[in-house]
Amino acid sequence: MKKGRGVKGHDIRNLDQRGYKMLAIDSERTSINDTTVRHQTARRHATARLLALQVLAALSLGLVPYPISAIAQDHQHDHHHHHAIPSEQDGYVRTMASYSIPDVKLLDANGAGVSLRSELDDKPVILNFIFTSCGAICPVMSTTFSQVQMALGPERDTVHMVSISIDPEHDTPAALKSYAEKYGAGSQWQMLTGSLDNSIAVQRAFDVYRGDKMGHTPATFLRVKAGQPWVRLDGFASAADILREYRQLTTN
Amino acid sequence: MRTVRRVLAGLSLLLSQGGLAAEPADSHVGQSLYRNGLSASGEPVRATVQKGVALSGADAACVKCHRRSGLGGSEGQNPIRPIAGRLLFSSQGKLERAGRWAIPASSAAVRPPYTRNSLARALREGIDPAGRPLDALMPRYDLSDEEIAQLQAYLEGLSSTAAPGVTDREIHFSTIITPDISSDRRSAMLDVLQGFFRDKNGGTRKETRRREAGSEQMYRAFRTWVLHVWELKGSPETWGAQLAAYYRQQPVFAVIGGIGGASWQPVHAFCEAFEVPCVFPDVDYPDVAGTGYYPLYFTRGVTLEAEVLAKHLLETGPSGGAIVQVYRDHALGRLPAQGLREYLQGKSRKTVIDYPLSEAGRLPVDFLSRLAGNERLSTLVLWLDSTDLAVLDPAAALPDGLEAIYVSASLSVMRRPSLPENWLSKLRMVYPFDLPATREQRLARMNAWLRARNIPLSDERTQANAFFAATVTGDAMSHLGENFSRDYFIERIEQMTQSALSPSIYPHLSLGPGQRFASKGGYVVRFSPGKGGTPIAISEWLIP
Repeated sequence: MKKGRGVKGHDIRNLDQRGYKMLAIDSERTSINDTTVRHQTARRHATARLLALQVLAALSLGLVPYPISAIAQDHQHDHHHHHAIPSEQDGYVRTMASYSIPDVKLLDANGAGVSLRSELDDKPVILNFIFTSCGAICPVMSTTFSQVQMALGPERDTVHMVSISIDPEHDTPAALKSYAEKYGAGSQWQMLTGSLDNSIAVQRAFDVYRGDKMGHTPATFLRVKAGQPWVRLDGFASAADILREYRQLTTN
Repeated sequence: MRTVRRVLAGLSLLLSQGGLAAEPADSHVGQSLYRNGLSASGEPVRATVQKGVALSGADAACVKCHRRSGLGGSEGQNPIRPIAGRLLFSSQGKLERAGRWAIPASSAAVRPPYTRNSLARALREGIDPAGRPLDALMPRYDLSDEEIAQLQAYLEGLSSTAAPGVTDREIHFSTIITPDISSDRRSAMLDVLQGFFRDKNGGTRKETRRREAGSEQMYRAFRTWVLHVWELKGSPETWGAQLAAYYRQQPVFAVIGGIGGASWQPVHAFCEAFEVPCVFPDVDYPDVAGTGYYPLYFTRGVTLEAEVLAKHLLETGPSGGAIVQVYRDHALGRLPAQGLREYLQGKSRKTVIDYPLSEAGRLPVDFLSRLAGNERLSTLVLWLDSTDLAVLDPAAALPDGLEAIYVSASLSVMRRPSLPENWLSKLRMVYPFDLPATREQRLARMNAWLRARNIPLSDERTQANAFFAATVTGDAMSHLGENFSRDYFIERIEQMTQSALSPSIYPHLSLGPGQRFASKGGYVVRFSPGKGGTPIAISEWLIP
């Protein structure tokens, strides 16, 4: 159960009916079939019973907390289930991809129009997608970016960091400006917004468009120069992770 | 299984009694921790999420993810658990007993009740009462015992009782109509709302029996919907008292739709003071200060129009000359004029000349020639309603060099005003709505709904806005289950407006945490020549 369960099936045993429904919606990407779900659901009940007994045993022996490694394992794999090849690193999945960047005009935090393609062409790029009213995910990603910026020190001017809003109508240049100030973004870290259509076009190009901003997932993209493939980190890559990926790209 | 969990709950209760000594708890301080991430001394709380990402203050506040209701939600693939006390301090994980909040997305949702000790451990170390690590996104906090007690005190009261307006059998809503609304517009809205309520309550003959059986929350949550029409009378200063009296007579869970002609401020203040969600009224003068939590609006009304126009003038502006804006000289009449002026301030070198018309004043026949003085009048902005526009003198010659005349779609009721041909050729309208061609497709669903109920399509804006307000309320209510929390209701609408299937007269509506205006921009249009005149966009969708 710990190994060889396969990435696709790893969290199914924990799902109840509602979870199954949510998963079924995702099935385009995960290609889980009903048979697997039923099979795994049965296993879930068995596991839950076992778990309760273990809890009981632990409590009656005064052993709190009780470690159950299987659960901790699941947790670590939470970010992997959309991708065929999970990486070694914990917490995010690294893939390489080529994206065709749409030739759209976006706006920077000063309201100036910029061409996304040419903006991304000049230097090594570290890029993510955010929105300013976001609750859980973006503050972590933006704090991580500001840690990356800090760790780069004076070297930061050799890299172009970009955060693109996925809620562009709310995130006006003025809103992005105060967001940038909040996270201490230096001149190498650019926040971009634009029309809804253009934002969606960019999200689609990077395969992060989920139809609704609240459905977004954390992802970071790195590219050493135009024409090279992108390194895509799905999940919460830490500043150290991003820096390591960046070094690897720029020293090769 | 049920027996096992009961025993388990009992055991952890016993264990908790040997825990931390009870601290003097202050739920008010707890609220500040919860909502603002600030301790009693006003210091920002500090926390770390996975791999050393440090958060503090507002970014680390519970409300940021668990939301004001404490009933959680989801973001991306991250389920955000409910932490309102009655759910936190009870065991979770069994569908029938714990309600929809406990429906586990993973086995991590199955756990014994939280206690003071296990709450402290969850907050500091990120370990749940079953000994499992919480999601990496859950911050690990640096909190004192006292602060944890304060937070616990706050959580215990959070979303703990059903909001007023909900009885065992009924849920009450109201809609609000200001006295200056025509009876046609009033009935256009009420036909839609009442039709929706009839639908909602129709075909549910088994629901009351299912509710009494009480086996599942979905059934237990069933309530008959009751709509109250709160008609305001007299001057706006008296509306607050009238609304309070209506509310005392029959508290409502939320206000759906509503129409305001003049000021909506007294209604806004009522919604805030009584913490009643006021969902998408059809108004041109919402409170745009952005301080409200409970009122949700379609747009910022005439203020949005003024800023859309200002942006348009900045981007495409006429080659020179002065901008003259004419408006009624009263508090509401001044709003768009002020909005335009302020937006252009410091961004444009053009002269803006204000021409206030006294409250009862008519437009003087020869006013245009006198307006710009020595400067060329290039842009004329008429912040006037259709009645005022109708009194423009058709015989008046247009000033030399006048390039464009702008009017407001809201004030003109979205229709091309009847003006002489030489005026119409220069007429532009600020148009914060979807354009007719796409709007018609988008509203097809509503039109079918109206036809099926023998409701004539009499006023597209009023009816579409009422239809959207009603359907989004219906969708949000079905998410609440029996958690009749107004905060949770607002949170659901914030989350679902973007993906709502319900059609609207706006190109796209979207809210998010804390966002209060769903449509953020507007077009500038001209009209096709000929009878009727179709609006044709001459700008992009402009977002000021």
